[in-house]
Amino acid sequence: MERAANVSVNAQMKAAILPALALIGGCSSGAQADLSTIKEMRSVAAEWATVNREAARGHLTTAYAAGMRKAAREQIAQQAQTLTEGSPAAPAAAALQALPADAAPERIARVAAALKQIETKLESA
Amino acid sequence: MKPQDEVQLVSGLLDLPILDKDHRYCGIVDDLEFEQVDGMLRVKALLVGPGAYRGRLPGWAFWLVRRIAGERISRVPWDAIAEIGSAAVLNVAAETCGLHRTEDRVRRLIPHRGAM
Amino acid sequence: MNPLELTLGILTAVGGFVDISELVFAAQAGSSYGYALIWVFAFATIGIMVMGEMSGRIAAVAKQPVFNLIRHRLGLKLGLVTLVASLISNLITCAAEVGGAAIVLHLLTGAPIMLMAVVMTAVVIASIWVLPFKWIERTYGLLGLFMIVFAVALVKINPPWGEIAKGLVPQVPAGLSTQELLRFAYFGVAIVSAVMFPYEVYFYSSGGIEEDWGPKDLPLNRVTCIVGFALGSLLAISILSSSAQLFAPLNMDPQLPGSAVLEVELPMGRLGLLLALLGILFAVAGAAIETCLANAYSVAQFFGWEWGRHKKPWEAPRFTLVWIALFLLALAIVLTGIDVMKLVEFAVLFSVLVLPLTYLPLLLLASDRHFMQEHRNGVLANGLGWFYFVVIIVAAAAAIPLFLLTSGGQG
Repeated sequence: MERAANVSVNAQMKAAILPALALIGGCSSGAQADLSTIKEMRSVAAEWATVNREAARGHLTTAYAAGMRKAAREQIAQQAQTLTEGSPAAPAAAALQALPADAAPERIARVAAALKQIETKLESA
Repeated sequence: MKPQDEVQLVSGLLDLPILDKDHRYCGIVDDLEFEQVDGMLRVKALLVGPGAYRGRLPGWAFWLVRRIAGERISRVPWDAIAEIGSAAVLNVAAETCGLHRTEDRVRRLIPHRGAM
Repeated sequence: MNPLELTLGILTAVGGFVDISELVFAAQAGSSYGYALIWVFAFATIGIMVMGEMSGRIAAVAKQPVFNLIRHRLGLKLGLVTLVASLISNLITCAAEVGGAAIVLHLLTGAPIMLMAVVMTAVVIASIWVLPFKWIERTYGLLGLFMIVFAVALVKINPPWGEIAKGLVPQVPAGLSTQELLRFAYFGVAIVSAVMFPYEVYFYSSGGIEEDWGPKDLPLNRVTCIVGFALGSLLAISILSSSAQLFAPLNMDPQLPGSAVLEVELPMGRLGLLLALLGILFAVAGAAIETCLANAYSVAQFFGWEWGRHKKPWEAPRFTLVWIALFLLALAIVLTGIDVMKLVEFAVLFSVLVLPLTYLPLLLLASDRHFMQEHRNGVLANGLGWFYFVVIIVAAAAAIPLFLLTSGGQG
């Protein structure tokens, strides 16, 4: 899936309106912003793993598998760029980006599980 | 409702769609023109066209309308109206009142083929 | 009632119910909250039944489509605000549908997405140019019935039907954090918006005029709205339920537009994958046509131009230019490369803001004795109509804060 360079419209809208909304509770901190990115990345990794698993079983067409792999890797690359410096998810993001498109589903799923653990920890903090 | 009946000008007539005698859409009642007859105010004509928005829109909005669509106004005489209901139906063709001009101009740009 | 007309009308409503927004939100709702949002789909479907029936009744009795009467009821200034707001909302929605269809074509063929967006736009423009209204509506509506494969897939995975039925009871899952509650509320608002999209009543009421409905078609209108939308809603609920059953255990909250078809592929293999892709393609292409024509109807009706696909394109020239221009504008938005999922979010957000302006004139007109005579709203229609109007106002007020507080539903 082709995408333009990431224009974080959400971030721009938030920067404009959040000071007002902070009064009624809910100003996003850096950790909160990372949390949503980590959730997205975890899911995309899980989708990628599922695609590769089903492709290995011969259940997918070549076009579908290739298109989904490309989309997943592009989205992970964009999400990795938006992580804050020193984010606990940075190593997992790097690991995902280092994997080939047709990586073994178990390898992708392991990283997705690691992201899930980080996500759970941030949610309960 | 016939034109000689009592008509609610704002709630019944203003912004009503206009159909000509062949039931072709030919505009919206954008404004009304009045005349004084024997000391009484009577509706003289329906005004149709972007120029009729003057006075109904804020200045900046009318300026924008003028830039996009111009200022033309067509007048539909009151006695050209056959009936007023969910639309104002005329007893004449749109061209008689100067309506449909833009539609006819744009028609020349559209290929006349290929449609079922 | 002609049984064939009735059947075709219902099937068209079913095939045309699900669009890219419902697909995305149903899949994410299921993976995130299990069956807990099923009731919101059912609730919103009743809303669109009520409003759809009213708009069809107005078209059949007053013989004027909704937007003609919106200007008459709201006046020029507020009418213009409604027009501009609905144009923006429908245009974003159309772009989301074009983008979604382009992605599906890319996943089917491997061809570049942008090229597929251009091809798809050319095909739908050609469809609208060549085919009369009834054929347009029927072709895409009936081809959209490929979406039934999602319901078949759900049956195949043998889900806990009791749990799904319990999902019809209004509920909020217990034990959610504040952030999760806000996200749940955001999904509720988004689902209401996606099911009750303004373009649906504009298209439906204008379609009634296109097909020359009269008072004799009121039963057809009522049955089509109730049965057609109910069955269509079951498709959306199938997507949600399969997602809950299959995606949640895999830690998937579908972020990629192509992931929803995995709900069908997992139980049904490659054939299921292809059928699901085709279903989404036709449903979304049909929705692109509806949103674009709804916009063209709105503009033409607001300014009193000739309109409709029951006329040849050159018989309604300004209307023709408008729908072609709007499709090209939607294509231009897609060609900027903006993420389709972002377009879906914005479509849903803008639409819920426009809904009150859309439905207020509808309610006033449907109760108007002068226009509707003996066919005006009864107690039930009025009661339900005003109830849903209040719901829409609340949803519209909550939409932007919820969107920002939950980072667009990501939490």
